[in-house]
Amino acid sequence: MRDIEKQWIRAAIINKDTKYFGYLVEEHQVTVRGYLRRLTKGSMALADDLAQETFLTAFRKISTYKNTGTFKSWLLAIAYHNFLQHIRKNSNNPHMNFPLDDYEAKKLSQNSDAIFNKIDIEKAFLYLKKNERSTLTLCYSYGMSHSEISKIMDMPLGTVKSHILRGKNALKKILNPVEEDILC
Amino acid sequence: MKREDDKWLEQQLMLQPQINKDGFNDIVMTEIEVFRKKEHEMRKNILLGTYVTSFIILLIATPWGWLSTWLNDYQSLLTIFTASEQGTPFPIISLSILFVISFTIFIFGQETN
Repeated sequence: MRDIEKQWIRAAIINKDTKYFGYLVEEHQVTVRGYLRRLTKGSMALADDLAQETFLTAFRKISTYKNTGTFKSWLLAIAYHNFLQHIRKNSNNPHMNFPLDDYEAKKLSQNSDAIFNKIDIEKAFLYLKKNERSTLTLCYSYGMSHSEISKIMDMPLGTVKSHILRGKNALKKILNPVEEDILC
Repeated sequence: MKREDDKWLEQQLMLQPQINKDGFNDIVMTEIEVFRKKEHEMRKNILLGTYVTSFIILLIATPWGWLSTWLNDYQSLLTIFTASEQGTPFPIISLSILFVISFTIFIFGQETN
């Protein structure tokens, strides 16, 4: 974490200063919004709503932030928690974009050729389960260690590793027809 | 799958989602300002409520009978200072209530500011 960022956090905690918190929002908005966009399967409006909620929660609870991890991982943990809460609240809504994991798995096998003609990792992400989407994004896109991810998602290290492995295997399965297409 | 494909996949995964800085920061800061104002209002109301409750409890719990007897003993001493132009003494109990009310109004005024 940069020294200037530490100063902003200190100023935001001690003075509840919105100016310095604004700098933190500016610094981390791309990461938080990008992460939530992956989690919400590309739903920009919902991702931005959850991101706003994340920053508001962070502002309210900034005094509870401890220097044990980075500020970014603290924000991402709040974002993940907000996302889970959103799913739970809307789990009975059939029009929600987040069907149950079994449904997602079924969809993967049925529509595995949906992205046949286009190598697009963002589209491929749509077919993954939520924990796979989360772990792969945090691990590869944001370069976080497995232990950091386990803290963010509040799950054991072994589970994180298996989600990453399963996610990668699922992506390979999804992207495999593309490879065959290129070879033909 | 070959090892090269693994590397390719990992390289693809390293790409971050495309996010434009489209005034999101301003929206968040506006929301935070609204939240702060609401929080401030709520805190002010709770504080005022506490003052009012404390004042009522004070009025109820004060041993007025004992206090008035005790004050009557010293009434004559203070009549010299509190007597009005007509010569009627200003009851010390009213003076105390006036003092408490003006003090409370002063505190309320401070909090409102």
